[in-house]
Amino acid sequence: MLVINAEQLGRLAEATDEVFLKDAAVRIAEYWPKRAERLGPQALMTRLRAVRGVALGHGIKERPDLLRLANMAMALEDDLSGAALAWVHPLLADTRLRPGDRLDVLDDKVREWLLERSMDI
Amino acid sequence: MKFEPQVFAVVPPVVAPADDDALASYAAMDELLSTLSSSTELGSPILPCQQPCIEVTVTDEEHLPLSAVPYRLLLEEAVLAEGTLDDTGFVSIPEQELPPGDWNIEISLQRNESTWVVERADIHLIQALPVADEEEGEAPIETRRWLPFMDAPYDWD
Repeated sequence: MLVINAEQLGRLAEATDEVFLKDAAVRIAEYWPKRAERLGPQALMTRLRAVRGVALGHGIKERPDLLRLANMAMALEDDLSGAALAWVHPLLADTRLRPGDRLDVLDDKVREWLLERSMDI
Repeated sequence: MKFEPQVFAVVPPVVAPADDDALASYAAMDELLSTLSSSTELGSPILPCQQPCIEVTVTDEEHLPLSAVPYRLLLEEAVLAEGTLDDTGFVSIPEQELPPGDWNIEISLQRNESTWVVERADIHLIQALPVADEEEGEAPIETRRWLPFMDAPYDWD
């Protein structure tokens, strides 16, 4: 019987996460070409890693959920890890809701925020 | 009256960097993401097909599948799922965790034209204790703790 110990599982997880982050960067570049170009590949990966850290910190682990959060980060032009967008964190930390529902609430707020910004310009 | 010559600095024109249409880009990517099915968790190399689920195959005393037979899956007398087994006596209930406890599966069997009997198989699930951190080095495989094999769900009487 093949036995995979915890350390090996961790290594496998790291590898799959890196592949996932690269895949996420490709998707982001497809939908946010100008912002991705302005950031450059390194800064984009740094932002995605930061978003992943925020997501895992709030118990958001599903990959489509992480992609949603990355999309929000690109829309808000922030990696969500700092205090710049203080209203984001309480919504992500609302453990009364499931992760997907939290992102639904955040999605509404992001759309409102984008609409307000587009009116200001 | 003396006129001083005016000096003006040459300021380059302000060019806003090219930007995406945030509303359109956001909506387009979000629409794509809404079509993605749930997948593996981050930090887990386990594939989506290994999401928790309950799969049961029920056979009769002669190990022939009980096809198209009504079933009820119970956890400590609460009905978790009910329906009809397929042609191979199989049912799969996706995305169900199995909490520890006394499980039962009840099968309604028609013995003759007027008599229906309910057969019940008991399944007792215990919670696996967390594995203690091992000392340096791998423990011999014989000393590893394995979950005990449990009776198959169809193995009653």
